[in-house]
Amino acid sequence: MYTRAILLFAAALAFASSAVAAPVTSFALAAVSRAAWAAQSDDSGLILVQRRGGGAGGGGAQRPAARANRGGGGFNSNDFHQNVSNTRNLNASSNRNVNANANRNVNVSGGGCCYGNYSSGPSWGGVAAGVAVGAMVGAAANSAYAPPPPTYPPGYVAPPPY
Amino acid sequence: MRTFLGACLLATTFVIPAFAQQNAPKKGSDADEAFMTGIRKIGVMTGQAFACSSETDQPKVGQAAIDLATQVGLHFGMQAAFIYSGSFGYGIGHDFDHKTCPQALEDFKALQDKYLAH
Repeated sequence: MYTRAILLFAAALAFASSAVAAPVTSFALAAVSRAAWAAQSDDSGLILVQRRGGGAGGGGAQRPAARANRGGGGFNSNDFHQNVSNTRNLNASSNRNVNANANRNVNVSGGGCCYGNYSSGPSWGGVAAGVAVGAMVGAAANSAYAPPPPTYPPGYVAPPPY
Repeated sequence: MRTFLGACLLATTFVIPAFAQQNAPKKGSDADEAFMTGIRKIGVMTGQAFACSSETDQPKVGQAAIDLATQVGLHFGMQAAFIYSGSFGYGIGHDFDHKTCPQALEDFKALQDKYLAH
């Protein structure tokens, strides 16, 4: 009697702690845990944490998000993370001492990883400027949307106070 | 008694690594410095690919950048998407050696094929 209860408690504790500790990394487990828990639990928090692609906000953001979801169905976030995190600087690595470890250069240059030669981009000010430029590009790409007005419409009337 | 010990062992087997992971930076979070640097580089690369493209191709590249930013936002959060978008603009707006254009376009194409394949 107690044995079964203890074992059930231990198993529940083990799965619950894993789900709480690594909600982002357990992509493969998401479907399994969703199937396993959805039937017996009303705790939508667990499911919502691992759910993706459902709810881009409202208004104009919905359409691109939906399109990206359809097109990016094969987006492998683990592979993307690994690829992006390994953007070593190829120029810098090529200056390593070959005599120290002959295999090192082979591994680095043969890694096939790709974006090391690009600038790592802006500081905060640069990000702000970049976002402004990117917003213009976004407006051009989504030409179906009317560009936002430069200021409030001339006929804009301030809402009355409460 | 033996069963109780077994249950405790089973629980600690899963619980201890789970709590240990909490100390490590979450994948894709702003504490994941290598990832954020990579996001910036990819943003700059995409921006340069945009700048290197012809006027007829630029909307496609821009749309792909938006799609990628959306995926980054969905999978890694708004902060990563913001950094990517800012770096994309930086890549467009700052002068760079246009001899690297073929490489940027090739890298962008590979990125697009791998992660935004329709």
